[in-house]
Amino acid sequence: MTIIKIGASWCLSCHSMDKKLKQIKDKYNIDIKELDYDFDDEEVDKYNIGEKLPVLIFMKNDKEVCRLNGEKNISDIEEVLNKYEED
Amino acid sequence: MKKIKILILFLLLMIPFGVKADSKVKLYLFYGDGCPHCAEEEEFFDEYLKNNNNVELVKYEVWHSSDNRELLQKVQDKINNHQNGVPFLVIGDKSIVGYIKGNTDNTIKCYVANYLNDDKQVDECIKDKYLTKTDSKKKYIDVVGQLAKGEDVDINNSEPETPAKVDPVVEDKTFNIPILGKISAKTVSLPLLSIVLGLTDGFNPCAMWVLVFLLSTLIGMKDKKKMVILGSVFLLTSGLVYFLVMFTWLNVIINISMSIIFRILIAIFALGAGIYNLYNYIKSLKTDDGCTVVNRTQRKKVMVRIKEFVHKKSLIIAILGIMLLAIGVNLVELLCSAGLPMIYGEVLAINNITGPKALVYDLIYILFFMLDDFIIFFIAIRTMNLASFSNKFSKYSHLVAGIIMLIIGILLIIKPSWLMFNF
Repeated sequence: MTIIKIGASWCLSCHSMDKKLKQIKDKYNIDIKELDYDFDDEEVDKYNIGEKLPVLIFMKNDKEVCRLNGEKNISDIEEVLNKYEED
Repeated sequence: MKKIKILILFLLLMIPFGVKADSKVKLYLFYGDGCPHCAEEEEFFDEYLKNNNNVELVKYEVWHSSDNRELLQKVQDKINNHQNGVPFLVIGDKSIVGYIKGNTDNTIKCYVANYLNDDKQVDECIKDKYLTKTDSKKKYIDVVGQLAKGEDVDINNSEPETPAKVDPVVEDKTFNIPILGKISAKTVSLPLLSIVLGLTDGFNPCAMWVLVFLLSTLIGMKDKKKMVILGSVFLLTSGLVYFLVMFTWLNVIINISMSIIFRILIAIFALGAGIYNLYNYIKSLKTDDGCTVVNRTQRKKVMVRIKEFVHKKSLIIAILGIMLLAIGVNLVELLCSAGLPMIYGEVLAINNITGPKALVYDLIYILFFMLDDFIIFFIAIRTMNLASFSNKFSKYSHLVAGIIMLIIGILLIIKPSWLMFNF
């Protein structure tokens, strides 16, 4: 499972999510790919992310299986991971 | 001889205490141009003077005239009434500060009746407690007239004069606080309002993104010294820009636009901005928490500049660059949060806060406006990361700002005296 995290350096919610993702990575077997909303704009625009940052896109076998928009708790991310890791 | 003495005594008793029948009672109104209560009192006089030819009104504007303020000061010293505020009406050696329609009117009429020896009305005034029996025996002395001519006046008046009925407009409520002692509502309320408005304005997320980006870039460089220096430069310059804009704005309001129409315009603006903030709050309840993306192209330009300045080898050039950036960015971002400083300026103006006092109030506002920035800065320096913060609560700044703006807007229209903390 890969999580694509789209964030921005000026966004406090994105920084707060970094810490949570680090904790998740230690616990689950996942890859995290980080994209900067402003400087990786071409790639970011492919995902049509809406108006809130950060965005977490959960990819399994190169296919998007779930998406979380905005600042979330660790439990929200774990819920998605547990659901799709079992599949 | 005895008969002559009785005759003299009789004649002396016949001399009235008040003014001669053919002379006028002069009323001196010290007012502020644009002060709502002064305007109300003037409206009352427009009608009253039409039907009372033996009363003359002399007006002194004190917000814009230092000479008139000086005269008011002399009068206050002489009659021993140092209550602040306008309208400040002087009749003989008696004074009435503030104005409440239907109450102050009667007090004025009673004072005038007393000096014109209208015994019938004076009796009614005593009955209705607008005058005391002691008041009714007072001799008319043209205190202001004589002081204005540079003459000295002897009024043998050591007790402070207060209206027979306390006018709530001037009543400055006091309460006891342990250790600090007796504190007046007015002394506490305005600084408290400055703190609340400053904090609310500061939590407005639109002004914070530049600081977060700057700190994030500096954390990435792992250069703590540079972070302390450039971060401080950015914060201090931002504070200075904000302060100068606010101070200029306050002076504009006080010197040019102290009119009722302007007050109503600001009130309408406050109501509009209040509704807009509440709309944003309700909207935010339906969307996810996090950072809202706005104008990527513009922001990217600023971010590229920040990166350029931060990576400069010369610290002086980096400092100058960050200063210029702080000036530019804050002037633009000010539009995003201009609502509260604009309304705060009007509140200070109706409280007649000028000069050094205005400086202090603006400083209080700015200090609390920047408090969240300082907290982020200090924690970022300590921990060298920005992960401890959350944007989840920023939506509540819309709720608080909306409620405050609506309350101020309504008060500016229907009860401006409450914003002067005269309850």
